Amino acid sequence: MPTRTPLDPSLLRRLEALQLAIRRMRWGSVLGGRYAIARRGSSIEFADYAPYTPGDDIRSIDWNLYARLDRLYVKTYQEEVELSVEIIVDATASMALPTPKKFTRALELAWCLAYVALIGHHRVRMSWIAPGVPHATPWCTRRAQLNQLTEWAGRVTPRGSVPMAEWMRKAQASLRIHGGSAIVVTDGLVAPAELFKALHGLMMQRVELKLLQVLTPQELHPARLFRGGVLVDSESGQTHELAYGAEELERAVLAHNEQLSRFCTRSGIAFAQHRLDESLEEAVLKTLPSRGFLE
Amino acid sequence: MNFLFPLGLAWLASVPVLVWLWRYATSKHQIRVSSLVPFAHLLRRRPARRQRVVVNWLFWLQAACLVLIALALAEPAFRGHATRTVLLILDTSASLQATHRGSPLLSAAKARLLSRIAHLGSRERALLVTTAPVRALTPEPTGDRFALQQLVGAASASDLGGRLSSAARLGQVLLGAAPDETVAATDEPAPEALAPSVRVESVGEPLPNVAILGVDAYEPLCVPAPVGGASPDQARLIVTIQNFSGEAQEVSVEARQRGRVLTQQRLRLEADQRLPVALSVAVEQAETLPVPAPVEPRPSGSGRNAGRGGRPASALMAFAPQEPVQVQVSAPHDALAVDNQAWVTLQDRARLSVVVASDAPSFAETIGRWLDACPRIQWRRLDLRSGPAAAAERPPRSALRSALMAVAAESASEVLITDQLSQAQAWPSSSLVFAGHTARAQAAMVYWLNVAPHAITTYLRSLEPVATAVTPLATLESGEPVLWALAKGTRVPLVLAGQRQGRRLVQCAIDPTATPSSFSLIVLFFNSVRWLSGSQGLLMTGEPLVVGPLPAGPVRIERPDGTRERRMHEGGVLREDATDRAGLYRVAQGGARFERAVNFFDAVESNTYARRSTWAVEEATDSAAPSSRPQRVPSLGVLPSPMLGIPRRAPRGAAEGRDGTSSRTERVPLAHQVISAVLALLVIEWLLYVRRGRT
Repeated sequence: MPTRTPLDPSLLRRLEALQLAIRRMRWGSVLGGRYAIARRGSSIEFADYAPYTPGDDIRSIDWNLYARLDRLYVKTYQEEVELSVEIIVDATASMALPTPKKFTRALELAWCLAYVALIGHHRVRMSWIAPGVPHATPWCTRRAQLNQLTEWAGRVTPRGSVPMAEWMRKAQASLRIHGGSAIVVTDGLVAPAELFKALHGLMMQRVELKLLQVLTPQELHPARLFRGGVLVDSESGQTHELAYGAEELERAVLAHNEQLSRFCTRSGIAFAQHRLDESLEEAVLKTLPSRGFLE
Repeated sequence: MNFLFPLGLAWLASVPVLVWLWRYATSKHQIRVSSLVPFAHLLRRRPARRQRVVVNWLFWLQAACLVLIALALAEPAFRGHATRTVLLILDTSASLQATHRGSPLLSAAKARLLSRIAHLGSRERALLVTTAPVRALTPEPTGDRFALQQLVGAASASDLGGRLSSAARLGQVLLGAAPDETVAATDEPAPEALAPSVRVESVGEPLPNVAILGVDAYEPLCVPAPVGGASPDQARLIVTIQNFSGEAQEVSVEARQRGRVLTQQRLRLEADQRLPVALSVAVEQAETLPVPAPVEPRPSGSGRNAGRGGRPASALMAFAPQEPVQVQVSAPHDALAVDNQAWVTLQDRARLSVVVASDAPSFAETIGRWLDACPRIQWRRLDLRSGPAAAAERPPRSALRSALMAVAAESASEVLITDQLSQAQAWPSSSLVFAGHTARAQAAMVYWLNVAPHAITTYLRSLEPVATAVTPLATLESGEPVLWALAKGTRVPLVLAGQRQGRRLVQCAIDPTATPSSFSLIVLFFNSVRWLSGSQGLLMTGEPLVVGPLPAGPVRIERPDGTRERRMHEGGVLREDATDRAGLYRVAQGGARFERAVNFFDAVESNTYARRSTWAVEEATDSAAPSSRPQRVPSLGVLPSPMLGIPRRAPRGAAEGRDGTSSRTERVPLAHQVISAVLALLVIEWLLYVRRGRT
């Protein structure tokens, strides 16, 4: 049943037909979920026979098989786990430029992904890359809790500058990010090495990563936005006289984004780029499934 | 295209300044961006100095504005098809004050013009001209509809007569060529023959009206003058009224002074009947009037009364002679109010001054003999041969005319009796002109035909045989034939009476020296003298009002419509030309106050029942009656311009088409259009700038 959120109810209904694309279940998920993993568990779904080893529950010994083969075998059952989905949204100052719609769209995309995860009976929480101690929302498991997620997210305002790798390191410790899946929504306008380091740290925690880059058309084509003057970095305050041709600016942005895309491909990270002039519906229903975010 | 002021192009030097300003602004412009990270490798490079200015649409708009301003200052012009000129004529004559169903005709006329103005095309320029007074309300042809509408809305009908032909003539003069279209809004009927380019919007309907056409103040001429110069026993006001309608009307005529009714008379006027009504004002009534306030001081030593033994001021007071008497007519069906009242001053008429001027001694003797019969008339013979003109045995006519004008300057109110029309034309006051003596003139029995009721033909029978020496007048002044002569089966005008610029003129086709004295002749003579003397002091709208002489100083003029004007008078005679309203004009200077009456007598304007078109070109005349010598002239619409005295001038290099307007070219100034484009660009720039600021 759709909840009261800033999202369009019709969009929410269409999202119900989707689910998160999970390549493999990672250790670290909570037991009792609907996803079976390749581990002997306690569900009622028979998996296989395994030779008895001391310590196994003798109640799982198949005595009929012992009568025929004179060997002890135990029945194994599939383990079913609940997937933890961590949605990390970049809330630094760059997300509010050149237009506040950029951060709004990032939130909307995060809510859509969270809603799909909730429909899939996963545990979902959101956290924001922002100055200060990393904090996140409580884990949500019901779709009705999307409303709470949007409410919490609505209080966040993009501000300041954060070294992303450092923030990830702190977040892994304080938020106990381990296993499961993580979706990072950012504009990717950070130093590539810094971003790679942050993502690599997450991957070391056996987290299945997805990177969603949100950019405005002006950022993709900066020659349209500014053609002269002094550029001021919104996060660092660094200034620089703009004295380059439009082609040079375009090439610089293209190279930066290409670098991100290549790293993600090499690292097995699902990567998608969303332009602000693309509609939210089109992005969620077409772009993200094609990029391995949803299925 | 060429430039009328090429130096204006120097303003183009402002464009480099604009470029420099943009470069400066660009160097100071800070752009807050998400991050400089994507350009990290560019930042490591030393930025090259930018050689070209970074511009956007705002720059191009501003540059375009500067270029257009330079263009406008240079006053560009090109030769193109001429703009269409529309001559708008608004009839503001007195007849437009007539009300029809509670609404003045002027409002309807304005509505017609406003309708045309509303459909004024972009290539049409209109010139707005009024008929009374004849003047252009727009200094030049304009396409500004709003201004034209404002001018038409503010126009008001005056108490003047007006002619469409005069307004059209003025419009053509101001336009410099015949207009492409002429629209006249008037209450007159449209003439039958009109050019296709002329449209007469007639708003008039036959409206019954009773009007005063003239007021004369008479005293008995042929009685002895009162002893000691006292006031006469009674004065008579002859009020000429006419019923301009198809039905008889009961009319009331009354004379008032200071709000008190002096006399009143009721009569019945038949349809279209003109009637002189005599109102007697007895001395007993006049004596009861309070003494008027300050009397206009007469210049010392310049009055003719001193030489003629004028009456003392105390006698004038008893009669209140300087107080105007208001004559008012009322009728049940009356469309026009302005012609229902008139003012006349019962002046000192103890003696009537007459001047007889003639080269022929027999003429002067005959006239002098007649004048001697009337003890109240004091006459003198004007000998023009005395002075410089007498040096020659036969002085030229121009010398005589100059001598007459010199005398006339000192005889502003004397009636001239002469046998030379040229002398009468130069005389500043009323004149009686007899036909000159010729050897062929012999007395013969002719029938005098008296068909028009007029003061001159009073006591004459409608048809009576009189031995008369009729000498056809060499030059006929326009006027109303008041007496005809039937001789040998033909009818010729015997007496013409007319009025021009406040002066009355009677032309008589009788040789008095060859005509035996008869009762009818004497009656005709004295009737004429009395009618001529009755116009003394009467002033009509449109004529200058003269007061004074007055000492130098501030003067306040109060007009009948309540408007007041203060002006600095330089001393001498005060002349007020804006007498377009009938009524009492009050002039005050210090403690001295003067009151002058200005009347409206115009039979053409008062005839709202059967209006005549004044579109046809006629010689201007103030006479209320039709000319005795009507000339058939083509209407203005079909009249070629040379006949109007206005050459149809085509600009240099113009090729006039068959229709006269289609292929004319002229130098069309573009400054207005360019300035409009500049303003439009500035507005667009402002809008875009605001929108950009919002986004």
